[in-house]
Amino acid sequence: MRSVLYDFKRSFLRLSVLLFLVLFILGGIGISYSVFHILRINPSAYENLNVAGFSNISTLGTIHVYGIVFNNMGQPVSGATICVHYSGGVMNTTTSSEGLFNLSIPYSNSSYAIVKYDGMVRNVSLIGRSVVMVNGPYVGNVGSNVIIHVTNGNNNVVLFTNTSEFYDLGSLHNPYPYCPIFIAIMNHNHLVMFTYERINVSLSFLQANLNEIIINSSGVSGAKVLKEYNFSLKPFTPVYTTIEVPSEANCVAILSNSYVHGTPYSQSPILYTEIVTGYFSAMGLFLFFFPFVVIYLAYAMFAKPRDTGALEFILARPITKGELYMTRFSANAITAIIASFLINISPNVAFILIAGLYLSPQFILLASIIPMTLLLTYLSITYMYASLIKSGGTTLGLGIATYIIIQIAIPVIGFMSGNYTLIDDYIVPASISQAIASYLEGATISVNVGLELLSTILWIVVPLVIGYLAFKRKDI
Amino acid sequence: MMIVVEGITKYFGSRKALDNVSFEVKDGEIAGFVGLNGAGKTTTIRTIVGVLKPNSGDALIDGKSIVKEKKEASKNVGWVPELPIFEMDARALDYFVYLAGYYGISKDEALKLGKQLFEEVGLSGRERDKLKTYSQGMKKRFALAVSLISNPKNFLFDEVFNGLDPQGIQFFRDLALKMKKEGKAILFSSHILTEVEAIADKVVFIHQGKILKVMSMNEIRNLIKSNDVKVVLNQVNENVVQIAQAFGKPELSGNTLLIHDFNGDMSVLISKLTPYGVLEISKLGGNLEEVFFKVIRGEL
Repeated sequence: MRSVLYDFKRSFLRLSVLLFLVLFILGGIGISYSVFHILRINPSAYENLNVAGFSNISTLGTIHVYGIVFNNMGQPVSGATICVHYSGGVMNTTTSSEGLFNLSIPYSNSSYAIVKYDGMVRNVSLIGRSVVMVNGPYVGNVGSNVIIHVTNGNNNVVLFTNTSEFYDLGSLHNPYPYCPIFIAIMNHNHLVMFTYERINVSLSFLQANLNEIIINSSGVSGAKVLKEYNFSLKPFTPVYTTIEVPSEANCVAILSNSYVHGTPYSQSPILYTEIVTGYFSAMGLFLFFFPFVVIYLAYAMFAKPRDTGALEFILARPITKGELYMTRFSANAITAIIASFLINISPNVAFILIAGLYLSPQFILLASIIPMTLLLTYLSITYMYASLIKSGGTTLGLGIATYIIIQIAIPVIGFMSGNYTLIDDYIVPASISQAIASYLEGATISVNVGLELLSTILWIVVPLVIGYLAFKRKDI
Repeated sequence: MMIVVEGITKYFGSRKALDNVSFEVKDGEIAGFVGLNGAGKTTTIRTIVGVLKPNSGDALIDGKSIVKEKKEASKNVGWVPELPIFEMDARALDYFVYLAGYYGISKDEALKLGKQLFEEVGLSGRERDKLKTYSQGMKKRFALAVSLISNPKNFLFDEVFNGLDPQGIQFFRDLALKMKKEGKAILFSSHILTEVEAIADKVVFIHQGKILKVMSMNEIRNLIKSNDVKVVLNQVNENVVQIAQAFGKPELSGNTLLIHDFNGDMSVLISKLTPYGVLEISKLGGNLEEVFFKVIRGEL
């Protein structure tokens, strides 16, 4: 083990490897920016400021505004400034320690509010029209997301919201016009509820086959109820509370005496779901170049010293040829594994810095397997060549040629023979990537995971074993 | 405790590089290993240190098989190659620490040992230099320092004098003699037969992959001992030959008189030849080179 660590240290601390690792980190950051670019995600999707509320528009010519301001964790924001604009004036207030605000203004058909906190801005229309042009640096942050307009006795009631995409469950406003409740679940455990009428609500987290579930006034059928919460809501009085969402929940039912609704529940924020889709496309682009790095690493750490004779002096130490081979390979493999994590951790850091979005450790772990298996495959193949052929230059050339042939020629053969999907799913190296990407995207996994795993492992293990046996048998 | 080479045969492709090579080097003994270029000296040494695997046969280092117990055997043998090749972009002390790791020595211990051994082999002050900046002689000293990590009882020097300045040659010659005094077994291959002759206790002759002969230096000295006397005179005439006939079989060539099968007293000869001006007088003997060629030609 100690030899592995020494070899790892020597391989890891090489200037070329450190430069490559910087390249991997930059690649990871490139992935994050590519995702934002490809998906055209604008700052309003992640700005850490959310506002929701109701305008109660009296026929007597007054608008009563009730609202709550909370952050992307679902925690109330106190001290946020609310600037309510109406024709002929502006009225300001700040949110309470519970993030609440309320005020009354004279009726105006262009009333809107701008919410400001810590340099962030969101705005909302208060009268049921999508508003408002705000000039300046926050222009991308504004624009009401949802405007619901219902009649409440003699008054009109408008639900206004402008939130980021950090919610697991967003405001429930369908089916129109029977939407009495605003609900947001942020960060799995923070619930914000708001309604304009007195109502008892049951919130059920379900595990269900979404094609079979039935939710109606009689209740829920075709689903397993995992957790249920009951609330008694008062008009224009927001509720903020923490809840515990079961990790198996994939559906939520909202039942009240006047309202029944069910909706799929994502365990991740909506923004996460969006980003993950673009993530693997961007990673694919960068991954094309990274195998060249490990091919060079195998050349520099094994093929070249073997060619020059430098391994002979090492072999005169208390180490066998088999151990020398595996030690070097393992040291390089650790470098490749670290690089694989870096390429996934660095976009996570970028996502945190840009949007405050954390990818889960499980995501990073699984996503890292994609570059890891690809890099280990070409590391293994190049080591095999280095064992079979003494010339370092030939080994390097063969490693690169093999990569290009596998990446280009085999898919072309697939297209021509009509077996592209089969080849892409099971024949090419690191084919397990297909299943991992589908899983993390939340898509249906349509491949045989066992076969993909087997194919991926064989691409790594077979060349490694051939190289090992050849190195043991042949003269160094 | 010693180096025992047992019937090693080694092929490179279809070419037989070593053919049933057997010999041994005992503790406290320096064995000269001589042969022409391509005779198989380096191949034998690389096989003994475990770099090459023999097709058949084995080398025992202190009783441990280099084929079957490579790790144990390697701990007890040091090797200074003719042209040491390392990973040249490494810094010397870092590489030393790295290689010491294979002996199970921790980094701190290796750093301490490295500084000590670098000083012993004359590389003090160059520890932080990259190996690619080292001269040929320094590389050999570095190889020696690495070989001394485990303070092995057995040492292999492969053409170690090649490319060295006189100081370097003296260093390795003195080192071999010091190691011999310490009771170590040393196999010393060299083209410089006078050096081998000066330090070896025995000589292993190899030719075309076969061991032709293993002779002790006493045997060799007895073989090359002769009874010929060479006298260089200031002036010569026929009387000189007549005088010399009383001491053996004279042969005059210019001012040089050779007396074969000398039988008499040197001082009497000198006094009789004094009138002719004795410039030089010496007993002639053979050398290792002579024996070497005789062995190769199959005359011995």
